[in-house]
Amino acid sequence: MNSNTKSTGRSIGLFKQSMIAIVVLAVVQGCGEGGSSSVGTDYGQAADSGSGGVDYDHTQLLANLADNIILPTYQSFQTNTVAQTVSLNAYCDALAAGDADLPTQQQSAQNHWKTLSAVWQQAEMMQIGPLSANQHALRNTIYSWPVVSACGVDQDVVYFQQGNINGTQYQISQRTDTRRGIDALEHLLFSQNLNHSCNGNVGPLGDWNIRTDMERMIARCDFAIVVADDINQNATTLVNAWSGDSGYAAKLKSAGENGSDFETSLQGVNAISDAMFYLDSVTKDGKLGKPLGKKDNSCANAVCPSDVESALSAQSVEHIVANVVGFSKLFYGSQSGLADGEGVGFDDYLIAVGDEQTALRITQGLLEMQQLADQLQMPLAELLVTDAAQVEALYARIKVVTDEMKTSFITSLALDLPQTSAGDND
Amino acid sequence: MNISKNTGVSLRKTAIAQHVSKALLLAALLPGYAISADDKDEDKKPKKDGYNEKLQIIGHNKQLRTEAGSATLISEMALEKFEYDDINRILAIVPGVNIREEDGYGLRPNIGFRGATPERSKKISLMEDGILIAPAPYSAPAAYYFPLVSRMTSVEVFKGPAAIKYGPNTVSGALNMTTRGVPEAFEGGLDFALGGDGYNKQHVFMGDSIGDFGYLIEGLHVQADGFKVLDGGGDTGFDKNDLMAKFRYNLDGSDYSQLVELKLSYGDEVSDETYLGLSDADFAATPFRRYAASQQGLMDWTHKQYQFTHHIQFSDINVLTRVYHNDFERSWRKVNGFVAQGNPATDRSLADILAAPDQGINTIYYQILTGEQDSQKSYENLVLGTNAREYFSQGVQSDMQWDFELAGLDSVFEAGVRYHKDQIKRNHTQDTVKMTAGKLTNAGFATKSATHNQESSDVWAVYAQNTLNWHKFSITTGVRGEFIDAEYRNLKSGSENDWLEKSSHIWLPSLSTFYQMSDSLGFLFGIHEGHVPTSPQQHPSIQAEKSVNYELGLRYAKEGTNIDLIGFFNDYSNLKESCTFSASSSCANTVDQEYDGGEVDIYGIEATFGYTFEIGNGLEVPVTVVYTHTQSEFKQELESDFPLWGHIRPGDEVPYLPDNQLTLTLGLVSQDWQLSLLTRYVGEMAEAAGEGVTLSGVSSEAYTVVDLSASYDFADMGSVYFKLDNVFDTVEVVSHRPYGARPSKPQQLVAGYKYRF
Repeated sequence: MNSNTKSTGRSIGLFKQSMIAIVVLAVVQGCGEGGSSSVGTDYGQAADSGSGGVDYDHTQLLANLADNIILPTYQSFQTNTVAQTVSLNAYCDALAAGDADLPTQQQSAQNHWKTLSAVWQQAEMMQIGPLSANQHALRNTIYSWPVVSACGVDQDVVYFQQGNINGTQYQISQRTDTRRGIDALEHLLFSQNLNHSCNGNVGPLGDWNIRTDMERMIARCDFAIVVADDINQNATTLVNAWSGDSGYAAKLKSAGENGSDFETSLQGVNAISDAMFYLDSVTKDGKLGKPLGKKDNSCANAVCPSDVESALSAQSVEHIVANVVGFSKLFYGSQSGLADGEGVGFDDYLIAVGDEQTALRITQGLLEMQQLADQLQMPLAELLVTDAAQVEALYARIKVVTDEMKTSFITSLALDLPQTSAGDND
Repeated sequence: MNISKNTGVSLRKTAIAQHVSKALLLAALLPGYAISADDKDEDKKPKKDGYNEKLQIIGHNKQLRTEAGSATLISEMALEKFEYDDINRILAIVPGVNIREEDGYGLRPNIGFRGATPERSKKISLMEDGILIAPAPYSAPAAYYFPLVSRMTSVEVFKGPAAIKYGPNTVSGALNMTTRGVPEAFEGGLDFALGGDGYNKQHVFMGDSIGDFGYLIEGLHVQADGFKVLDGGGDTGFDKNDLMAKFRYNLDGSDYSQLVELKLSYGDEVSDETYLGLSDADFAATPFRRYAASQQGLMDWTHKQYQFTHHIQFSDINVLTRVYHNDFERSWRKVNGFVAQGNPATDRSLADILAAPDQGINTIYYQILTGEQDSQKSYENLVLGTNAREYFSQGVQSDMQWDFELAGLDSVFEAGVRYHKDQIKRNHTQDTVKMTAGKLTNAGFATKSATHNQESSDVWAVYAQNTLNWHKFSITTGVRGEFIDAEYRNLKSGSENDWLEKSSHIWLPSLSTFYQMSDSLGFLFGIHEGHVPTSPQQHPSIQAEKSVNYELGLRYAKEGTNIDLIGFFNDYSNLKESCTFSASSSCANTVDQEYDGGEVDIYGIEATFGYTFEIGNGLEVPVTVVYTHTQSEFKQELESDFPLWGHIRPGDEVPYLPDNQLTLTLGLVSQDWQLSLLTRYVGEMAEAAGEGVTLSGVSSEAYTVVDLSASYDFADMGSVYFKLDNVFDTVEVVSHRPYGARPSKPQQLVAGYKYRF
């Protein structure tokens, strides 16, 4: 026992010294840290934020895009809303009078809608500032696709005709976005089915389907004028919000200056590039990927013609082309939407930071996309049924451009991806 | 000393036992000082005191009083006083705790200490019997599993340098819950209770020691129908079960005591819970309403624990070694949102919709959520996410304590080593459903895989600290080391090359002192480095959370008066947060993504005051006041996608951190009955730090809740208790997360009967 005790004592002594040594060593080591890592080739594909191009002077880029591309597009849209109203008035007059040139007037109103829509589809690519503020409230008022409701529009045709909703005066400005805007106008102008689109005779539609065709056409046309006026007012609101010394264009151009909404000029550029990712999340995935079944759609992910945009007017392909035009205008900084050297655009920015190759690849992709779109001679809904491979090819061409956008474009220009694209699982 | 044992003694004896019972009762009302009553009962200390102290980390009054670091004990008697099942309510009597309530029952608590984000309690180290109990403490610390506190015999909270021993999260602190120990003699008890909203509880335990062998068996069932009313009818409550068995064998030698113990436990929960709250207008009209879209919300989990313990104690050294394995499986089905159309202009998170249900197209979505309209278009379909996850957490942990003399000075040396491995495997799926006549029905699409990945961590953690007693000073120096190998793998087919392996290590020093000016007054000071590791999936460029934390305070204890006053300052060099479904519906695409917040200061004062008035006729009035004042500020401008932050400017406050919290506990104690009143005030809390996110400028409402409890002890015939939670039936918005306004628990009356043998 005694020898055991001595042995234990020596052990404890040794243990004590060891422990003290460990503590001293550990304390000396205190604050130390380090690490290492290795990654798979597919890890972090969605990681955002590049690091180049921070020294570029963005002033000219912002000024050109604000003054010569975005605002003129909005102004063109506003001008077209006026023309739309004029044509609608003529059409409605012809309807009311039973004129012989009714088909001509109808065609004219429809053509004006197509022109108006084509300009708007360029503006879709330019949803920054007033259009994206407040959960895109103004944009959705003008055009709420893909959230559309033919039933809602049919109900409002009758509400407007009644002049009130449950005793409250009808005011289109108080109505849900799906009952107004370009999408509502499309239904009013292009729908061949004069019966209402609701399940059951809900709301005010009790006797709608038993009215005469002419009564229903007149009612829709009268409401179309109200819708067009509303679009015009919202277009004016948009243009006004961008104009003047305190307009959004001025704020964008002064990005990085004291009092600006943007802490740096790069943030201003990033707001525009965020909007350009519409080409990825909406044009590619929403307008092509969904109908193709590559994304969730209404047909259990099978090919789904009913999910195409503007099926009634058969303008789906034209809208996509217009999106690409809007994108090109921003990318090249050119009103023509071509790489004609006019104006400062993102291509110039890429070249300035030494990444001409990305600019060239995007240019090539846009050209091929345009060429393919020009070959599509059929509405998208029909193409999906008869030649889905062509639609697949268009999707693939757009993807070439958007893949460049997500990688070398943002890296070279020190931009962040918008969240909607960062979560993409292509 | 194990209080559970004293409780058993006190309730089965007569005069002396009543005295002890009363003393404990009083002590229970004074959190942090519960053990003072034990000193009166020193001669009854059981043989296995060392082991019990190790499980219940704050072992006795002396350790608590002179420990240089904030540590609070809520004893079994205090826990029994209000018979809370909700840890959120229990922690009201601990200063420096910030909580975001969610479901009203505390099923998945959100607890932070000293300003740490309370989200799923993932920034504090959660322990049961000193062992990490979060589902995967390193890989996925969010506490979707939380033990039923009704079966705990104590709850301990450590902040400041006191937390350095526990890890891995050392910034804010640690919470340890102690389960019932194997009794020295035959002992058992039962507790049955019934209450409003279909509440009922059945709790039984029994144990004995026969020779060197001891055992304990415990079962607990708690359920409620829920206080929310689902549109169209349906359950909104929960059903929880907990079973635990302990088997102990003593292997004492002549000059040491030794034991081995096997602990087995099983828990499960089925709860009709959802993340969907209400719009403010609906909350004002019917705060307990639940929208039709939440009707299929269901959380279902099971938890299994296996733990083997060895403890050996010599006269001046004891070593406690535990081998542990925890399995946790959960599957939570709940509405995630509307089917995304991929269009930023029209896609809406549920939080966005409920923040402005009358605005633009939100009206359409809102009418689907409430079941007023049927889903007719694809954009009106809803996504039901079923987030199935499997976790394990296992390891070996050995802690030693050695009392010795160094240069003639008393020293206590403590050291520990832990090898730990944990893992989470996610298999999230999504179903598309549509609203039809107020019911959710399958929209005819196949179930899709949303997230299928795995994160795991392999960790060596060590700590050593030495407390040197010199004159009136106790000086404690310590260091903690964490060596983490982490791995992330995407398990989806075709994503084999999406993986990340990373290793990191860090040493975290601490220094604290306690100066005992007199028998009743002492001062403490502490400084330690805080650290919260990143999860395995995070890019190596995402930094760990780091801070340097300071505390300075005093303790006073004399003639029934107890005062704790501690100021703290947490100087974050990088505040880190992560996106979870519970934080925001807009995290759906970036779930578990972590964000750097840069430099942040969080500072404040924690105060506890306790005094017992003797008013004659054997009656005493114990009073406790617990107050916390906290301030926080980001130090730099920051533009963050994190939904709780947004565009932050210097000086902006950290979310979910009230400036002021106050709890007043008032008791009236007799020999055989007691009456207690707890009044809790929680100031308003900003729900987002900066601008440009859904809840920018929104605050939860300040609220005051009064809880009343009473019990009568029939001595040999057991005792009855009554409690009335939320006496004045006040209801406030406690949070707008995850999606929409959430109510606090309404008034609830519970009556119960307890018997100990």
